[in-house]
Amino acid sequence: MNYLLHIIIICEIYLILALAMNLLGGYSGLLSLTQAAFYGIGAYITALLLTKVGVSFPLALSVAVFFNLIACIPVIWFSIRLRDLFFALSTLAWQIVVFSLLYNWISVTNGPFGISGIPKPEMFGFRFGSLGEFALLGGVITGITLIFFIGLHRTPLSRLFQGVRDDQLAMMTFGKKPSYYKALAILISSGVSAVAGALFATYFSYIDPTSFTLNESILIISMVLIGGLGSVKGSVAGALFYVLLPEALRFVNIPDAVAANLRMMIYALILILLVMYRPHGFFGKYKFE
Amino acid sequence: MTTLLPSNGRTFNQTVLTTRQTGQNLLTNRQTLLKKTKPPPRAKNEILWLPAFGTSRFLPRYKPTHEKAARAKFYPRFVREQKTTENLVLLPLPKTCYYNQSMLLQLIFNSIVAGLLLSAMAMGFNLIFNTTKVFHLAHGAIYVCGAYSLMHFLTFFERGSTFGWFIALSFSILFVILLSWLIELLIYRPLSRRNASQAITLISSMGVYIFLVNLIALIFGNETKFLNPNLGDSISFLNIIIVPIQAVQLLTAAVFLIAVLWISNSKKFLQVRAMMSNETVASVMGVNSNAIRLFAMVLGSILAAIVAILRLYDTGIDPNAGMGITLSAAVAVIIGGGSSIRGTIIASLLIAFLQTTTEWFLSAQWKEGMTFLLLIIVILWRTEGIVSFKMRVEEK
Amino acid sequence: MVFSVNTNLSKVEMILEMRHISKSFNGLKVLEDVSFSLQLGTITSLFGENGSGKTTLFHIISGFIKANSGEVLFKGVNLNGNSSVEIARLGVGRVWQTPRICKNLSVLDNLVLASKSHPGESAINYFIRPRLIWQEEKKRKAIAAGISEDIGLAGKLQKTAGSLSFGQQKLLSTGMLLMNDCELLLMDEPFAGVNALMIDHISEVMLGLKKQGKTICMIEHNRTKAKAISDITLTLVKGVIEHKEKLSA
Repeated sequence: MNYLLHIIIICEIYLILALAMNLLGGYSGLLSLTQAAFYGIGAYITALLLTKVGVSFPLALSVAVFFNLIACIPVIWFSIRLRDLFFALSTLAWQIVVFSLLYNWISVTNGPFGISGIPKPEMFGFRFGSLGEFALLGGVITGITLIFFIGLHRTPLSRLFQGVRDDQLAMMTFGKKPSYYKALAILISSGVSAVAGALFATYFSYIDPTSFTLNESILIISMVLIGGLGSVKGSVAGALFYVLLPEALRFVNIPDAVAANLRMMIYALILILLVMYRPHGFFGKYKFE
Repeated sequence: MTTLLPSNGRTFNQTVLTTRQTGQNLLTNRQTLLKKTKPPPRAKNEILWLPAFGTSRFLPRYKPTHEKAARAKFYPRFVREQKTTENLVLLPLPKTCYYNQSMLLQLIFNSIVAGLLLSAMAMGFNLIFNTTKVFHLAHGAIYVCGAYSLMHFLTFFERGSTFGWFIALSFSILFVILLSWLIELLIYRPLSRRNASQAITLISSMGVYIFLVNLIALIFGNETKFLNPNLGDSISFLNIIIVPIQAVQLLTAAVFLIAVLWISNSKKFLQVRAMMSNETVASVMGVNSNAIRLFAMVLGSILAAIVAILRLYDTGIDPNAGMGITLSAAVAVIIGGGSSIRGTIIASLLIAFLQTTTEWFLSAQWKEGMTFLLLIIVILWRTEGIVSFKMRVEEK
Repeated sequence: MVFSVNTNLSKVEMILEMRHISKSFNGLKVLEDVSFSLQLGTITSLFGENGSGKTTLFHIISGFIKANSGEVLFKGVNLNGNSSVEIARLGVGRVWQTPRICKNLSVLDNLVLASKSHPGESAINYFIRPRLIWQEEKKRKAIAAGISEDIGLAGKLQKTAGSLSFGQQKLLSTGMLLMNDCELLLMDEPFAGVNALMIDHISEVMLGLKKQGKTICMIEHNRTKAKAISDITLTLVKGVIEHKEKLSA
């Protein structure tokens, strides 16, 4: 039962990340490689506030989200100034720069030693200490995020995000500024990633920079690609697939030393096959051409 | 004082040797050459004249006094010939760190070697990127495959036989060529036939990279593997410590670069250059684009495998070593102008210098951060002058 | 050289005035001292060979390129230096040679996207006036349905815009301009690449727009069809307006 709850919590974290990435990549067409960086910044800010300053969890969460909104300003600048491949490269560069900061700024982030002893969240006097309680909290937060995104994709804003993806010139012709909607998409996406980071930090009670590398960014993108771009169902499917694949492998009795590498190999193979033969992913409404 | 001691194992020795032995040797050599006795004794609190990077603003400046000027003749010419005294910086260092300008020379030498290796990698990436228009992240996987395949084939031959080594080398190069052909035939060509965007090919390349790297980690394990080159001890030349493997790297990389430059100036390469600038027009003119793509992949992969093998004998290879150097090579290609070959070489030398300096004075982990900070600055600076989105209005 | 159609018209009825516009790219003179004005409620055709500067002229009016000298007056307001988005908001619409539509959105979404000043465009409105957004959305969807009937795409509201034929995409882009309610339409080769029936259909749509009081200026190579519906024709030769003809409507 405990193990099942563990899986559920991991699913929740990755679902939030997938929803955020889908907004950026699937709906707005901005292939950004900085998702792990924002995820990491959110986790670190929450961890630092909870351990060193000792604030309550909701406050730490809000500060992390707010900090991410500021930290994504360079990415907004890149998205307005650069196109396509150069934007992807600059976000890749930004991801590596942020990772270097997290890894080397030892006085603040404790570098490769990480931050340990992050307390479990306490809200309204109730401490979400046990696994089941944490899963419940995570479930509520994920539910709110899911409702937020489903609602977002029914508003006119969703049309405008897709306009940024499809034809920015058309938007300019009808008097709408693409840069405003790019900025909005990046702000929302990085803010939501901070929530996932906060959940990650409080669940594992120990974070270190190696969870927030470029590889993680690539995995988040591939998660969304496999699930499908441009639909909420796609994000859900992608996150579930990513988390449940190693569990499925577990039933086939593969030794642990091999399992991690084999899982990545299978994942990469599925990614390649999908990219070549079914760019929609499983449930996507938009294929990357 | 960890800032002056680099984190890389090999160069630690060099530093120690430089400061202790070489400095002393040189001092005695100069003395015998100039037929002079010991220099006049220093005053108690005097600080030596030394050049150092970036620390000048934090230290007081000294004007040369008579005694110092007299003593200046015993200093190496590099120090004496400074045009103004403001260039020289005073560091409160003990006598053993006397000849720190040799550290500068050592730094330059190390970065030239690293730069030549990086330019070989960058040339390969440049070729592949410009002909197939794919951001070939799997270049990193090919890099790693080259080194591991050499290690694997070497197990079939007895130790120490040069002939066996070259056979193993040729087998591994063949293997790498086959692998890159497979990638091109199975993945890049169908995607380009479908006119896939660069985003899609980037993602497929990422997928190939993840797959191959994890396969290698599965078979060979995740730890760093070294091979001992058995080439003897370090030699010193002009205050610089040269580890023999560095000399091999330097020579091999130089040979390959000169070979590639020579090929790129030949007539047959004109087809490749035509394809790099405009593929449709080139194919109308009779250039067989499929063959040229394969040729570019082959050449690029050979270069990557050679660099990997050279690195294998030097700092070792682990399955994840490919991404870092591929990204640095990609940065070099972009900074160097995207399609010019000379620009790529100059940019890779620059990046290698930046990386070596960062590795020595800060820490090895900042290396990548600095490289990519440079990339961001260059991309933003260059697109300032490029025609903005408004002018490219009717492009698509 | 200054041409004017009718000197006793007041400034207000000249919806667009170009005064001494010159533009050169790196020494190549594309437009040289071009001046003309467009009267409210007329259809103007702009003829000229390839490379005579017609598209550049349209780019200058829409704000994608800045003229080297001269000014553009739209409804008496100088447009110089405004960005293309601001000029679009003032009421200058543009139809492109290849139809610029959002290929992954449905036809209805495309039409509603094109409407002007939807309160749902600004993020703040979702906090302070959410109900207004909901109401406007319903209203505009109804208007879009009506317009789709006008342009002949009635049954295809839910189809993805990318799956329409080329001519239908052109109609869709014209419909989007209708939704945008702009007063000046600049159309780049509206009759190119479509069959004769569609050309007539588009011509009808344009005449309908003229009846609503909108001004149209189009670049066309198909002189017969263009002359059939236009009031005035201008010919641009190597950056200079050479020929102006007023056709009896």
